[in-house]
Amino acid sequence: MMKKILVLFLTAVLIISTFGGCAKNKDTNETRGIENVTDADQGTDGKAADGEGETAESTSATEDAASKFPLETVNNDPGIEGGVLKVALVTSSAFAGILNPVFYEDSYDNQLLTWFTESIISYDENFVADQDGAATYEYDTEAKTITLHMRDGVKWHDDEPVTLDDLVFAYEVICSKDYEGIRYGESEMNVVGAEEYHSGTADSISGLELSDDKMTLTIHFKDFYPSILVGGFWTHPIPRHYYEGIAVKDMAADEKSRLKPIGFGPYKVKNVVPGESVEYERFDDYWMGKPKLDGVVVTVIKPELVPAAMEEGQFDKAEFSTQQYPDYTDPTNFQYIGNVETSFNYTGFKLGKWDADKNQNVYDPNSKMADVKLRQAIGYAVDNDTLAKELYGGLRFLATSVITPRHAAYQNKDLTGYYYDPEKARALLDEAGYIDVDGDGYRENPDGEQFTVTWAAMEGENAETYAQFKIQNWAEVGLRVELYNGRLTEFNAFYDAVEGDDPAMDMYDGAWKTGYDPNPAALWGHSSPANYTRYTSDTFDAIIKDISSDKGWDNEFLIQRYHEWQQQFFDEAPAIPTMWRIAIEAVNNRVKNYSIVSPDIKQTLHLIELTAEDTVKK
Amino acid sequence: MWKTIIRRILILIPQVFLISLLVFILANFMPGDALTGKIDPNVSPARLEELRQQWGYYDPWYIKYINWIKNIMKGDLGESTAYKLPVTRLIGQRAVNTFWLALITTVLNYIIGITLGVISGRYHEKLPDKIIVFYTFFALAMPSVVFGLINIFVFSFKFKWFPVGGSVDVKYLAGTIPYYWDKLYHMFLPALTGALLYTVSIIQYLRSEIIDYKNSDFVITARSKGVPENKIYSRHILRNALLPVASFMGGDIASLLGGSIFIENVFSYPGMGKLFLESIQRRDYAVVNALIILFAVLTVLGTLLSDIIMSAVDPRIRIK
Repeated sequence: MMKKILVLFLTAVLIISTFGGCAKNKDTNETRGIENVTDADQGTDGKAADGEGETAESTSATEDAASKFPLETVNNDPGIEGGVLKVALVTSSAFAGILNPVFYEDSYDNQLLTWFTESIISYDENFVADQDGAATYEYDTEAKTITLHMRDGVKWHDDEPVTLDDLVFAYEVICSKDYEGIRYGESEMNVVGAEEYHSGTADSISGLELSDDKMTLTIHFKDFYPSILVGGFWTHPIPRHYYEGIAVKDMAADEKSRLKPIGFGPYKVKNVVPGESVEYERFDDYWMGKPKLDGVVVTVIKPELVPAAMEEGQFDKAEFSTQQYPDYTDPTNFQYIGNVETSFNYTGFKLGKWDADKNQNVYDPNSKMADVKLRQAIGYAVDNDTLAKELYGGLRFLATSVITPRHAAYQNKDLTGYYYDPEKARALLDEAGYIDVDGDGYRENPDGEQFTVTWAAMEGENAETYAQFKIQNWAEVGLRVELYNGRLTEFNAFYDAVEGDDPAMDMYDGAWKTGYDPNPAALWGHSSPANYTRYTSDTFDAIIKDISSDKGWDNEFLIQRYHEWQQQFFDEAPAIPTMWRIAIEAVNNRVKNYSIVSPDIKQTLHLIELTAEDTVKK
Repeated sequence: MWKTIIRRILILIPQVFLISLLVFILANFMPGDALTGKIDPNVSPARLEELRQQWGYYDPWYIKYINWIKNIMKGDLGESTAYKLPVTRLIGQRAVNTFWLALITTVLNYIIGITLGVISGRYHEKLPDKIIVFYTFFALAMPSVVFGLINIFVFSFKFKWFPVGGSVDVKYLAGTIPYYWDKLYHMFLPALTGALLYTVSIIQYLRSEIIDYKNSDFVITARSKGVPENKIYSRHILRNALLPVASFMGGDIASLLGGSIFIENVFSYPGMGKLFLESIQRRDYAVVNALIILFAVLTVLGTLLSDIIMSAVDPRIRIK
């Protein structure tokens, strides 16, 4: 008996140690995807480099890559009446099923949410709030306020009108001291009275001023800067009348957030099978007009089954993984739509420490990687073009900046990035004094001691190939690079070490998703713990301060500072941006009017039509 | 016998206690927690710290352990951080799925195992036996993940006989008869996949037992009395040969109830095995700990069940 228990126990341990790792990092990465966030991508991704290393080519490569896929489905057939759209939710785990915009945490739940509820504000292609949503707004930089006006005739799925009191309710839930979610953050605390409400010293949030008819809301902010219009305030109402009598701490677990959620989006939830699938039906009173489809069914499918399922016509649309794409470049019954993501991969250098008492990064000018030429050389040494082509079928491409092409207004297009140029890398290393003294093929440090760089890279698909390729690239310019702990690192262990500034780590490969607001303060700021490099400089501080201040309301000045910042980042190189990424979706040929940017910034899901009764099969 | 059963159950308590302690300490060594990697421009690190404090991440492990045990005494297994649901409710949802899948798998397992085992033993060294022996080696060598994927590809994609995954189609409302049919329909392929692989040991045991008994004294006697061959197999040989197979049953039931991690994952079937794996990946400690304790209890109970079954089918064995 004991033996069996022991076996069971050992199995558990084995699973914890082996299985846990690989699967998680895939999942979590995908998980973090959509929710304007950050995350590391599977594995090691590396340095930027453009094959031939020529500026002109790198720019055109960017444009090529970006225009490779249409943003919208191409289908000129006449639409049929109604029909049910079959949507795949690509994940190897069950979805958590927290169908409430205030409580959900991962991107799968977010995908489920977008079909039945939406933001009252819509955003333009630069992610700046516009006037096309269910509410319009105006702002006053003097008074530090945003005033929202709700449109008439916007209804919840139970026919109650959507009012701005529902938005106040959302704020009250997020700022409640019983709220156990991740949403209570700096932009919420920036609302006047939110912190008092959170600590329990106030009964209401004083900065939310609601009109008597509940259709106009003025939000008072403590600081008022341009980022507020770029997703810097909460815009997802939740129905106060529907949650009446339910305490904040019980709200996430309640049936009303699980099996019977309501929203005011184009489709309403009809049935939920926890962790597996959700069925929606058309909401006839949708404020932008009656949706075209009869309904939508979203079902979980494992990533490895997606290509076969799409070919067999089991789904109308599914996210397609970068790794599978090279084997399915010419589909007949479905098409790809795609867009550049707001994320980038980068190699970061550990250059200091996080000071938890003062809540700031402390740069150490004597750290091992402190020589900027060494860092630049590491960037120029890696052939990212080959990596992108061979491992990702061109769905990744050289990143020239940490601001992605999705933020075209702010991106500095003059930058060349760290393209592949081993000669330049060698020259930089020679200049910096890293010279091979003992003739073993590897360079010693300026003091003539053996020099080994420890590099952390995550586990994941193709990660081993990727890591070895980069290590070889570095060896070719004479740099001895070893993997952190001698192997690829599991997701949790990786972040534990990166966030904790493990002194054994000199550099690491990660990825960030920047979300709506490209403000570098969040990722590279002096007081941002997410600035894992711990690098700070006066030039950075000055520019970031301008971008984050009310000076930024002058758009030209803002853009100029953004451009300067990217140039500065390139020069000081606390991290090397390596690759930008294209996300693609496979869409069956019978689908019409589906766009990949929706509903990220604008709701267009109600426009989707079908042009055949059944899905098109291979 | 009752005395024994009660004693066994009493021994269970310190065993489970010990396991829980070990698991707790080891889980503490796992890098990261439920909030690892959640830092990003929209989630303030101060908020994560606040949550960590609130959830007691910084308490020493023994304080966490004592709190946990205290709550269990009150029937509270904690709250899942990923699902934001009480663990009991979450496991409850999954346990139903796992139970039915386990039941069907076990039934298929024994039907296939006993049939093939008997044929193989009876036609020892003849063609049917050779085919079956070949099959058992094939099944032993086949990883369940691969076999599952092949089955999905062939039966779900190519022939479209079965659904690709999940436990029920969303179009049926819970509680209706089509709903339960659909559940059964979703369970069949995973259950068959599991049964075809797990059945190997039954076949092998049964086969060798039957071969042994074929030449034993009582069979020769029966044969010389002129008992028909079919009757010899059904009455004399099979009853004896089934004894060791019956002893598996308790363990089988226990391990199947724990959920098959592989089968459930391949078929995206939301049972406890899948929940276990996902929870480890997400560092959802409350769920992981609760499940390990549950599996441990099931294992011990399964062994006990085996002993009881043995004493029921074989009067020579008595639990002391």
